Amino acid sequence: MKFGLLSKYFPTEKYLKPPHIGISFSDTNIKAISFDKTSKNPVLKNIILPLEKGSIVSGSIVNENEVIKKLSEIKESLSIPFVFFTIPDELAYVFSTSITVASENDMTEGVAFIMEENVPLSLIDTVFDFESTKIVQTEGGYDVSLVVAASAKKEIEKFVEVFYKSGFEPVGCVNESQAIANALVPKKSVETLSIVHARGNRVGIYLVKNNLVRFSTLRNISGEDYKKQFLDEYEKFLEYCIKYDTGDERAIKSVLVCGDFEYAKGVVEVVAKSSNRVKDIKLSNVWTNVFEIDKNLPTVPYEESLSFAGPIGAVLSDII
Amino acid sequence: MNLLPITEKEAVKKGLKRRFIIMAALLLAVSFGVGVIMLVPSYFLVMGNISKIEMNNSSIGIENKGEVEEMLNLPIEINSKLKFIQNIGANQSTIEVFSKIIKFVPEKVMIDSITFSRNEAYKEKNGILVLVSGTSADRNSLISFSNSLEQSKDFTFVDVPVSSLTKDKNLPFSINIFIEN
Repeated sequence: MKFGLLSKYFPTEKYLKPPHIGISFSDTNIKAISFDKTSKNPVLKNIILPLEKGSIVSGSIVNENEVIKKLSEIKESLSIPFVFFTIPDELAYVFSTSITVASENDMTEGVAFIMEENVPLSLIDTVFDFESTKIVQTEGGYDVSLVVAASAKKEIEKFVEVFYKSGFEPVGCVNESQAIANALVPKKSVETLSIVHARGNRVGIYLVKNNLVRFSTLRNISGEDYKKQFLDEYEKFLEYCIKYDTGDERAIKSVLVCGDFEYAKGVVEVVAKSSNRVKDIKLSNVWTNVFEIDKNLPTVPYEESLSFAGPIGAVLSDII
Repeated sequence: MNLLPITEKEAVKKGLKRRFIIMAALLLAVSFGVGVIMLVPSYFLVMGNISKIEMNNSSIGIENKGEVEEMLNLPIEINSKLKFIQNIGANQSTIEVFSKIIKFVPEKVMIDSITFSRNEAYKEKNGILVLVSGTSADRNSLISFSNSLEQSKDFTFVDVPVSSLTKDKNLPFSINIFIEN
């Protein structure tokens, strides 16, 4: 039975799931965006607020008051109380694993059991979530392949606390790499690709398969030889992927680049010029899953939009 | 994926359930409201038709309460009249009763008095009670008289008191004759 017409006029997200803002944090600023994800031509409201130096250090909140102050400004500006936020890559662990469980309902317990083998934190201090990528039924139960994202519980609780104190109600939290993938990779894509999140002092490189980030790495690079440093890091990334995941570099069909425009552009140029290993590298379209860019002209300039991939992905993320 | 701590996730789930309940209740209320609004034209149409019919039938409306009560009492009145007529039909004339008794009187029996009473109860029955008293020259004549009365189908009961048969000659007697209505 098709509910196309019904959902057109009564979209469940709009009525049952609260519309939420997407917010992402970095050491230098907070970015927020809101739009109606059920609309084909949504009104975009975005805001970037710079942070005092030292308010967030390596992704962790240090100066709560400064962050609360900025979040309160965002709340006043966007007027939506619900928020889905990203946690910086510095605080997230993403890994692929497989477990054997007796029934599909035991998966959470199964993941919890192997958590301490993969994350340098005790289970009680960890929050995690997972997506199954493959389930094979065996005689003893099920062999499940999974992608797990985990983070330190106290860090997430700091974020939740500052949201409550600034008048927001957090409805979800996702690692930044996955949020960026949600924004850049078309829904239902089965391609294997990599995403480069280029910023002034660091670069994130992610391996994405079937819309899921399988592996992510964050490297501190800066200075005049930014491009050279990036190339070195990307080579290492490719080697790791070939060794532990894809088996063949040709499996990575394309590279999508986002982040601060200046650095993202530099990354595309240097890779296009020097590397023979990557065939298709391009600046990404952050509106891929929001609207058709050929039919709608976004109010956010393209250069600026590249740095909003995280918040856009957070808005597109499902609450439950 | 959602990396919120479990307590926060539960709170979000509760919020979603609450929204669902509110939406369902709202939907029900709106459906009810729409239903009521849609029934309003039909209501007024029916009310209009009823008033029209009432106006047409105003001639057969209730005008006088007394008349209605009188009409309702009619069956009772008819019943009482019917009973009266039946009683009249069932009653036999006094002369007729006397003649029925007298025709059985033998030669040697002298009648002194006949008492005739209507609507008398006798042996748990209603009817005419006739008390015949007189003198009989002998016992046989009196027995023959009482037998004749008893054999007649015109009388329900014929009682000759035993005291009337105590003598052989010139017996004074009184006979109770009862005719049921």
